[in-house]
Amino acid sequence: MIRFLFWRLVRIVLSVIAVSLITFLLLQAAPGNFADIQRVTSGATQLTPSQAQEAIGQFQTRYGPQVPMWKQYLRFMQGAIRWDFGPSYKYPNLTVQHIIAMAFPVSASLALMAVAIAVLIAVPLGVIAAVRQNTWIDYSTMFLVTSGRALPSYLFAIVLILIFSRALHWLPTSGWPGVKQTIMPVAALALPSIAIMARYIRTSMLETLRQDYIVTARAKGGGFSAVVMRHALRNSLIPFITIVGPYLAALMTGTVFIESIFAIPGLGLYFAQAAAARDMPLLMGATIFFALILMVANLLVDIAYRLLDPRIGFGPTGGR
Amino acid sequence: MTVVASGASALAAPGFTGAIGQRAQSAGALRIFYPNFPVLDPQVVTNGMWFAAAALLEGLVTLGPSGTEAVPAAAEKWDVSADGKTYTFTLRSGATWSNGDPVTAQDFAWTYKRLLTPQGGGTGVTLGANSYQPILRIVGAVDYQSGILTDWSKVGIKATSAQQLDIQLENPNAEFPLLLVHPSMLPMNPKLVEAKPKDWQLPENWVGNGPFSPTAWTVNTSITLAANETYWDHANVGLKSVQARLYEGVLDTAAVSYESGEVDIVSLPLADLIRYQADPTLSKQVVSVSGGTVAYLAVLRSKNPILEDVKVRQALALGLDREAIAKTSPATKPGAQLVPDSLKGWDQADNIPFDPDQAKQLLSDAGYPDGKGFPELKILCTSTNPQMEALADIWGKTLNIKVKLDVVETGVYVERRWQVQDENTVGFYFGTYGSTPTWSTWAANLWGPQFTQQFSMKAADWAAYQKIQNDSSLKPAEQTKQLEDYLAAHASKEAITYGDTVNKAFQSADPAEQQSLLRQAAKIRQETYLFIPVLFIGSFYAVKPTVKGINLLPGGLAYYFKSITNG
Repeated sequence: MIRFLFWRLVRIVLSVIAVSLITFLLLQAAPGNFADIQRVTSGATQLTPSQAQEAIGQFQTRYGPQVPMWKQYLRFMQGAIRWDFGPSYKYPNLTVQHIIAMAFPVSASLALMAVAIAVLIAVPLGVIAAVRQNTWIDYSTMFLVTSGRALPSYLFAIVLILIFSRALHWLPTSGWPGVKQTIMPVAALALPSIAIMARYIRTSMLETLRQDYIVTARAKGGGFSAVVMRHALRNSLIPFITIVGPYLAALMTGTVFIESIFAIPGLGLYFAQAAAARDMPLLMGATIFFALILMVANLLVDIAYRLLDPRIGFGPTGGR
Repeated sequence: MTVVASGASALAAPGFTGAIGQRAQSAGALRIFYPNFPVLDPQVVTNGMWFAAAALLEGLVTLGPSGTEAVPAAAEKWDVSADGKTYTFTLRSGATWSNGDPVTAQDFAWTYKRLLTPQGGGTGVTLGANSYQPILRIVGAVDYQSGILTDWSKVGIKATSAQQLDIQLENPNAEFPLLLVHPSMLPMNPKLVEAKPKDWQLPENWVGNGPFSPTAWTVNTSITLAANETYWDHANVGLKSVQARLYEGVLDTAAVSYESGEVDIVSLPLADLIRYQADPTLSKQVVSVSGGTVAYLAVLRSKNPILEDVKVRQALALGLDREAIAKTSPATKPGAQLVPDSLKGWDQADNIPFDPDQAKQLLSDAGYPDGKGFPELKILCTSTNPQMEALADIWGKTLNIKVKLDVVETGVYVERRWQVQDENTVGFYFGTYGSTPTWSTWAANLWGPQFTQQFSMKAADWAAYQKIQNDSSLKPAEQTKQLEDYLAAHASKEAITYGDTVNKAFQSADPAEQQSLLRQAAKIRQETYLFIPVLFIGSFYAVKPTVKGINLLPGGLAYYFKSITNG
């Protein structure tokens, strides 16, 4: 177990370094720079190149314009180790870690609610479809679920706004925070999750239901629902956890479209804006944070996996 | 978003105000959307500087209702010396900061020093608004800002007493008070800003002299304002509070929020504007202001010298059917000058005519009869819309040439437009520009003498010029001198004449003569056809019937909150 954890942590550290290096190099290769882009997008007076040069010259951060690239990277990483990413270019009064601390709980709470709702709906749907395989219940459930998957969440979000804001006036179109403000974004995020999860549960259940021990349990006179709930579902949940973990992590790091449509100050929106604006510290900080969240989620899933199924061990290479 | 706009009409009775709106509405409160801003510093180029000007801080003067004149604000009056070069502002007696301290001339002088400090007092980490300085022509200001002058006492800004602020100009400029309405000229409280260099902007620390003060602010979410009771003209402030919801990027559902009663004022994007104008109820709530923004094309420098021929550029300018392009949108008017029609003394006689016959003749003279052999013309831009599509389509058809929109990411755009393009790329970059309606701005600031002269150089000279610009081994004074010399030697004759005419205008102490010379300069610049005007773009807002006293202004400010009442 300790050995397993140790090697996984080594892998996480190496991956974070790789992610940061790739992000940094890509950002250097990208055309344009923060000051130039800011000038165009903030509707400011257009400067001549010489004036622009002055403006960039004044652009004093811990990375001056004369500091060579490799030094900028090392300077950033030096801070990053201590969870100090420095101030964002765009939000000079806020440090990147402060922005993450503000925006992550917003994205994470949306994600948790969406995934919780999705699980609550998807599991029964998947089980019913599997148990009633090849009946109209199975077909209609899977039809609905597939349609839900095909409809992108941002389009679904707009349909929701048209119905609940424009026509019925029940919910506000956008804003944060607030219970009413949360309903539509959560619903929009949950829909595709329901689709993915229900299909997963169904497939997994079908496989389990064909297993010998289920047949045996039934033959021994176990009630159908008891067998399904106690034996089949529990065993089907193991592969299910594999997808829920990383899925939750992906949603937690923010969803650009949903946050943008509903004007939610989540991490996804900051990340997208940072990339567009070439806000190096914010983009680097967010990317490293995303990478960490994803890898930690995967690690937790792997641990949970091993606890649920003792047959998978904590081998030195991490088992499977 | 057109889908939403048109699809939505079927779902609800237009103009219906539902439960959400009625509950949130209360007399004296205003709810709006505002584009997000990272800082409230008026000396940093962000939306925050406009927000500060609209509600939180009050400059020496503000824009009057017509949008074309300066009216007393923090200064109760000003006097101009006989030579037109010295302005003496008398601060309003009894006007105070929100902490009770009087607003003094020293406060203004301190703020302007902060603005002109080479590091940019408020900028430090981002883009400073001091780029706006050159058109003000305050003695020594630009030199101090660029580091050539280090003695602040030589800059023409002096507080002679607590109430008197003297500003000395290099040349007479009758429009000077009007130029002072820019956010970068707003005062800041020196004691506060020195004590809390970053956190002075937070509501709990705020000390301002404007009609409103912030009471709560969450970046990227919302800002709430309350009327500032210590404001000298508090009795005439119509609102008790303002709640602005902040959004990043584009908020496509803004018009829907307005219709469901969540906000009282909303800026209308094109698709919604068309829908609103077609609706009998909503159309009555649309207000607009024109002449704030000009859409233009600026020539790209290229290894292919075809556009270095002024006759070719003229042909392209004359062959642009602006009427037809403007018809594609209710928000645009044909813009046949770089100077917008909102300026006093604007004359349509200076318009570039639409003359396809002469255009074709010019192209033929240049060796491209009926457009034959003319390379594909590219328009570098960051996004496209119906007007852009119409521009490319109509232009190409009129002159029988190919015109293509080259839509690129913003980072690519900002870099590529200064580069020398390869042999196969000839064309223009598309841009929009909005500012205060003064002749000094429109005839001499953007597309100003230096800028125009840079554009008039041949591609190879431009490349050499950029080399000097990027030479960090040069001292500021040395570099400026070298650049000036290079420009004088390599810019086109017309561009230099334009610069000379601008200078002559600024020498004149007679306001009428000055304006006429600036107009003349603008005409000379126009006839270089380095920049081709395309459209005048107006701003359109929907305003709830309960909201009164909104006075839309051209340019970035949109409107002052002070005069607005609700309910």
